Amino acid sequence: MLAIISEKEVYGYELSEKLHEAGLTMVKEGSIYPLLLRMQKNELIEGTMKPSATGPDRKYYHLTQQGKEALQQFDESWAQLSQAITYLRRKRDEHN
Amino acid sequence: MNTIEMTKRNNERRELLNKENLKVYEDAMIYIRLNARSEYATESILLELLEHLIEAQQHGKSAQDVFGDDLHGYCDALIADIPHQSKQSWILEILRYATILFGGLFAVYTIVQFLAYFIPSLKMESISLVPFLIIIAVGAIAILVILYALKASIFGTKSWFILGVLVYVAAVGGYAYSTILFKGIWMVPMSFWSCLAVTIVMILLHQLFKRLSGKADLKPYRN
Repeated sequence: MLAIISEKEVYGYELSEKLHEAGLTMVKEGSIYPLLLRMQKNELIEGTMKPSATGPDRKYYHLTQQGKEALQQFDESWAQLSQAITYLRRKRDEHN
Repeated sequence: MNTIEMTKRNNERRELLNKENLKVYEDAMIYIRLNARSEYATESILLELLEHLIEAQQHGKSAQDVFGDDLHGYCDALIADIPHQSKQSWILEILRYATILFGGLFAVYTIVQFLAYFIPSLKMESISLVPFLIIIAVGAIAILVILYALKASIFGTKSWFILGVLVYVAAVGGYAYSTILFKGIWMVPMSFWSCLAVTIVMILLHQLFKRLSGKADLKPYRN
């Protein structure tokens, strides 16, 4: 979710569609809202009410400095983990 | 948008939902509102959910597709992350409830005193203060039980609702009985005008507390 929000400001429905497009189809759309609330509480994101092009006012989310740092931290630890997994898999394949 | 504007917007936009989705949404809305978290944060997330549901409905999805099969659990998960009301706003809310309680009581007394001009047997020259002190305590408990009962009744537990009604009846009955029991102790004089004055002061105080508590609730938010 942080990654999607970091690309461009999004509102709830947009965010859920992008998660869906990314292949995360097993989660219910609505389950983003408890997470959005928690991320606001932890000051990773902020929401601003803005009029939308086609409809009513919507709450658009953007990352805070803390949010950007959290995303970067995740990217780093993910890279490390993925590297480790790739290495271990290769070893296993060589073995078999 | 402030809290009142969001509530108004919610009322207007809700009309766009179809019957099935409206039922699910309103259950969730009432349940979440009854949890008395920050009103601003509550109305803000409720409006967001509503806009999401409206858009989902336009794409042919149902409330169940959005919120899942366990609405109760979904609401609890949401509530857990809605910020609490600030202490200041909470105290002002309690004071506001007190003005409703006393305003309501004195409105009844005002009417009785007015009727007493025509029906002399209704005339009360004075009234004991003790029952008022009792009703502050009983009223607070009654409000808490009734709030809880309303909340519990949304997802099916009717027994709590019955208990809520019973507590309300007991509180009113208890008050009426205590006015008889404590007759003669700490008496203050009563008249139509003094009752009317108290009622008006309570209405004004109510408006004041409402505005102040709204402001105090808004403080942590920048937008």
